[in-house]
Amino acid sequence: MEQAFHPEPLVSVRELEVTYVTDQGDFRAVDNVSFDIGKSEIFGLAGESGCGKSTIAFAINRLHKPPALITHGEIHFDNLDLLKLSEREMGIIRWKEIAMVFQSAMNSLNPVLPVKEQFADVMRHHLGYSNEQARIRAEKLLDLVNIPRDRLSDYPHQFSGGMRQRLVIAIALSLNPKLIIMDEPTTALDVVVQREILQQIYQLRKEFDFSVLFITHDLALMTQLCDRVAVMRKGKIVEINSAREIRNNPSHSYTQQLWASFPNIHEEAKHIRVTEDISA
Amino acid sequence: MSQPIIEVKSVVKEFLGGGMGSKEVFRALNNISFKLYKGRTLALVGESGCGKSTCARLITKVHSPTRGEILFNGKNITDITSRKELLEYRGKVQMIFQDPFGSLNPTHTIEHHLTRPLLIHKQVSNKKELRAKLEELLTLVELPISDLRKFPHQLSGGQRQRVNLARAIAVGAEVILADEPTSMLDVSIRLGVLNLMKEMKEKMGIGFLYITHDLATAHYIAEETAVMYRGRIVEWGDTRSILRNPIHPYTRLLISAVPDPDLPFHQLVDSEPNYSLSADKIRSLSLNEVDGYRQIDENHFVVNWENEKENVA
Repeated sequence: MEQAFHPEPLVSVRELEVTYVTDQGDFRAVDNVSFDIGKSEIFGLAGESGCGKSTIAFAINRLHKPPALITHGEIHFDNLDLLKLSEREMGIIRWKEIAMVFQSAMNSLNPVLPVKEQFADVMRHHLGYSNEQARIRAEKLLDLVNIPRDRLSDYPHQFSGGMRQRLVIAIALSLNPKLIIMDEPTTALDVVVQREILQQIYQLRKEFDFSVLFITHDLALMTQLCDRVAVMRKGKIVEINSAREIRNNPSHSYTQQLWASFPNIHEEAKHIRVTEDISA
Repeated sequence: MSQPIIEVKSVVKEFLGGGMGSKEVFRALNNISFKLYKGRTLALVGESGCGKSTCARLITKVHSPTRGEILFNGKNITDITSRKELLEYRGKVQMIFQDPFGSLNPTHTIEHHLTRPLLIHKQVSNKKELRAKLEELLTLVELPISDLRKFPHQLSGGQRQRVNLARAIAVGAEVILADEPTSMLDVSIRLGVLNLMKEMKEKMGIGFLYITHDLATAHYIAEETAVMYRGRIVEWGDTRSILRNPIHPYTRLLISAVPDPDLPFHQLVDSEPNYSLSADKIRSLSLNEVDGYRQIDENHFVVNWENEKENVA
């Protein structure tokens, strides 16, 4: 598993073990997991529900709550030992350095505040911006995610699900984080909107040079987007390799099984470039 | 071809909206027609809010159409009003929902879930028959008989969806309207449920309406597909023909967005840097209605759309 490591790591997870302590005994949700996420790399964690992939995401941000406990291992982020930081120190890193976008992130916007307030709140707290400074920056961020600037005063319910998800991504970007953790960010959205959002992430990463931890159960999407992929099962990483190798030479039987279980329409349908349809 | 079990004919459905005193009308379905046959599957494919679930609600008589008619074995379903006829219709036309947990009562066993419909729809006459029927149903959906004693939370999503399928067959369903039945399931069990549906279609001659946003699973299970956008069917016919030779820009947009594991994003971004802009243009031109449609192949049709030079007179 030498593919687990990266020559220039931003995040290093070593021998991580997360245990849920319950009355019926302990359940090891993450079992001896080690990997790196490189600088400006998109790293994928694939696996089915309950395999521990989201638990890892929460552990990196130290947002795991009891009964989940990190019982062993280390997490280093940019030369900081995250598990040794005080809660106050972690509070500064969370959001500012490590942003998180969840599956139902669009529901995490506050329904009774206009969008500009929610941008301003983040920037006031972490950057000490005035409302005017926050507005100027928020407008620039809206440009990045293709939402018209004049919609800053709108409320969340006035946006579609895909737009709300893009708003959350824009808010996540507002502090120039070094790492964005995306846990099934597009699972609740339509395929076209999914492609639009992920393409934007891909293009923004080139511009802003952040790393991404991308979590999904969709192996096809994962190998399309990520540089390296780890496949998880029952709390363990069963295979970790470059996305191309995971696609072309999956070595673990579980990875092969996952590939066999999804119908691929592209064996039938050839690739379409819609841009050509429109300019024609 | 034989008579369809369900025929939806030029159906329009409008909802009044906008709150108190408002006269705002939202047209959820705009001139929808399709047929469901015994032992075949039709996939209704489209993004959320396109009206695909509304179609199922009209067929189950939850809503009634504003215009047009829906025929069940040649009979208009709005004329089905007597208690007896309704019971019979509801037995023959069953629905499966997306959330396999929400559609089972957490306080009752699987046995209860299957026994009730059998009794209500008078499928069994005595206790002995009931037991045999229950065992037959579970075997059919490939669940162990011991699962009868279990509660919904003790089963996985795929197993719960199997219980829902068993419940639909229990009452003698001829048509099953499956609304995103696999989208909440893990990939590895998704195929098992789809295969079961395939088997029910082939061996029991059940007709399926498979409602989904996922072209890949539609391709796997449905002989025919209808692509919907904002209340209209824009392209319909043989699933393979549509996938091999998609004509309508919206169908093409949908196919272009299905993840292709062999095409990494750096290539996508290089070849289409402004994908979002193109997608928006396609959405807005697909929204405008243009009269008429064309036949592409023996069983492959597409509506006309704006901007197409040969169609715009």
